[in-house]
Amino acid sequence: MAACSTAEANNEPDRNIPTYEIRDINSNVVHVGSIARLWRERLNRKYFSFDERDIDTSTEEDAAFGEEMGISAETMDEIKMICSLDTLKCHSEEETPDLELIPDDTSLACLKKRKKRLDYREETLIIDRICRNETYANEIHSLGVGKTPTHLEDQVEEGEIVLTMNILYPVISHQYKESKPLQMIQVLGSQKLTQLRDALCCVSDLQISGEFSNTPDLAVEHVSKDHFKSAFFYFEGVIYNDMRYPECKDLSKTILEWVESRERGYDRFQTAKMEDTTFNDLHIKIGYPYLYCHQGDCEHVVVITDIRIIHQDDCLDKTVYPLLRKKHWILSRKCAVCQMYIARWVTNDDCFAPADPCFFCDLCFRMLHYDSDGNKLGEFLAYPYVDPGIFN
Amino acid sequence: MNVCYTDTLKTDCEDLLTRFQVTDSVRYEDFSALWREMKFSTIFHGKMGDVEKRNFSREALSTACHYFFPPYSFQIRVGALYLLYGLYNTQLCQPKEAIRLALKDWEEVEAFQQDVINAQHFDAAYILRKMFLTKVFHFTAMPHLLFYRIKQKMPHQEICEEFRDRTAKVNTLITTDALEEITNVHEHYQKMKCAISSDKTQPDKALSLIKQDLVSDLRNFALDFHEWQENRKRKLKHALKKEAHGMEEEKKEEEDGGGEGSSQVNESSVRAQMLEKIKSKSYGHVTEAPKSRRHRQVELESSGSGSDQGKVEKGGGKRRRLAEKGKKALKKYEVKHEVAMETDPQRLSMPMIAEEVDSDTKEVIPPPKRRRKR
Repeated sequence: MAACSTAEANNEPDRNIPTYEIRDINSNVVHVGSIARLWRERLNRKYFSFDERDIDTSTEEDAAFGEEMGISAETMDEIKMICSLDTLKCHSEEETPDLELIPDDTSLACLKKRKKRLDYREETLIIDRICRNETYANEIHSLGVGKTPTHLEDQVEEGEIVLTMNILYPVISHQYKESKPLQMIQVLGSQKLTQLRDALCCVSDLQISGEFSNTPDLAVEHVSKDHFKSAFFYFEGVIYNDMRYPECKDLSKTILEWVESRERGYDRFQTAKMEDTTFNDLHIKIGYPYLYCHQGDCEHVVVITDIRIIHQDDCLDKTVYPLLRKKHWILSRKCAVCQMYIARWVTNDDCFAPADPCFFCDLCFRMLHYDSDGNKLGEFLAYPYVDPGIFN
Repeated sequence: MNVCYTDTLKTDCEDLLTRFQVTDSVRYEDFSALWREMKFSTIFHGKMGDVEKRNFSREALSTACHYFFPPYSFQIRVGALYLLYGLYNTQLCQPKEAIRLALKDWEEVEAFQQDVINAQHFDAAYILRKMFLTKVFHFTAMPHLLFYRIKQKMPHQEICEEFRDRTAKVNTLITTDALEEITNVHEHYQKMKCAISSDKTQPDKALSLIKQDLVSDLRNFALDFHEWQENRKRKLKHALKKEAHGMEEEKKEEEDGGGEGSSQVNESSVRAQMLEKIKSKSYGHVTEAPKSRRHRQVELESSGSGSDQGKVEKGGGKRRRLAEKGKKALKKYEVKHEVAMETDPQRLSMPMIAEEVDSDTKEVIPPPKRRRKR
């Protein structure tokens, strides 16, 4: 597909139309809000409006088409019949083919490949069980599909922009740093950046800091999220700080000073407030990695994978957005003793534990390390543990 | 677990489109007959999990969409439209996976729709309109989802050469290199003739069997054709713009009706530049027409040299000719047998290189009179 048309005297290519900067990798810088405007200028409103599902307007539409083209009613009927969906049916009325079976005499390459794969699986399959990852994915998918709002004012506007973004694992995580995204979220163009920030779930937000071997009952007080409320987004040379609470600090100061200290090859970064910016105001490259930083040093790479106009099959309830579309299933760490409950404590230098560090559920932890009066037995350091699988 | 269907999807789509190409028709009836013959809707059958089903539908639609845009020929693009219609409606996911349409491709879709309407292919126009109204499309910023996968090489769908639009083929045939080679051969031939003639400076009269100005003629034809193409593209774009501003009626009459295959951005501009380069070398002179043709001198009228008058005349003549031909070619929907003429853009409106058509346009070299002595 041609990336840009030859500039003609009476038709300059609009600079806001996104094109590839690097083919198949990312686009040039676009203003999110103008994408909606550009599409609205070009399209008939009916192409993206939300229909009443139970009203069938096809007869009126066909009649309008016939009038526009200047064809008679009989010709119109003929066209309708020729182009009807029945022409796509490959089996006669009596046959109801099993959708799961592939016929042996197929000529399609895809079916041959699929058949080979299915036959192979039949031979080698030992346990026939539904893939848990898929069940999980389906559950999440059903959260958002086709939801209509209870109140009309909660309905998304026609022509609203939907951004889809991948949030990757924190950079400090060893395993999935680059391959699997932690989650895929959809936001509306009219939503503020702070709404996205609140919807992002990272386990580092829930960490409880401090050593609690002497006072195990005081552990469940405040999580990191309450202590350290600052966060920022970085998009295309602008750092958006979360300044909603008085405790929030401007985390970007250090970075700005660093950029300005010498000739680093970057333009000066600017700052803005997260709570005052909506997604429609942003200038970004699609498919290009950006940053979300919270808790001072927990950094996530954010990639905006898609921007489009909302469709009537999407979730139409504004209150549900930012909507989680996909999440990586993380295996929870179980207690070393009972292997049943999820670990809530981790110990170091523990004389009772077989390994360092060692994970325990609450019950086993107390039974092993404290007597019936609550006195500490032996030497150890205990920290509350929040399992990354807590969001499953 | 994840089976890759990219290559098999490409094979199947191209198989169906090749069969459609052979029918030489743009009728949906013919397409749907092929669809049923191949039992194409079974492509979605087979035991698959929901996630796999959705990924497969998405890939199938994306593969088919590739054939819907230039540089493919008009017939292939209509076939791709029908294919998208079929795949969208026979997929098994609920809710259905949509077809992605990017901002930068909208112009081409709009031009295609205009072509189809102008040529009165009612079935294609109906299907396209129906697809818009049943919200088959997702209107996106970019054609594919972008994940910044630099490490993974995304398979780039290659262009199928058999489906390429023929209007671009003239430019690929007559290139700088080809013309240079022909010149060399020509000169060599001249030298050979001189060598065996009695007079060493020029070949014998008896040996003049070919046209002397072969190369410059070829170049002129290629440049003419390219210019004509550019003109039509410009006119069509102009017509679309005017329509958008509401001056529908006037423009439709003025511009030609047989607009298939004209609205595409092709690499002909690059070729034109190469041809300009040749011109600037040694073919700037005009060969004098032989005595019998003195009343029709050759005129150099490509951009950069020659009179503007010649250009304007030619343009006007061509436009008139095209309008006449376009109107003749517009057939009613019921008459199906004229399909071959409708769909062949070259036959429809390619300027005829023959004397008898118009007398007020530029010189067109008549077919050479060959004197063969065996």
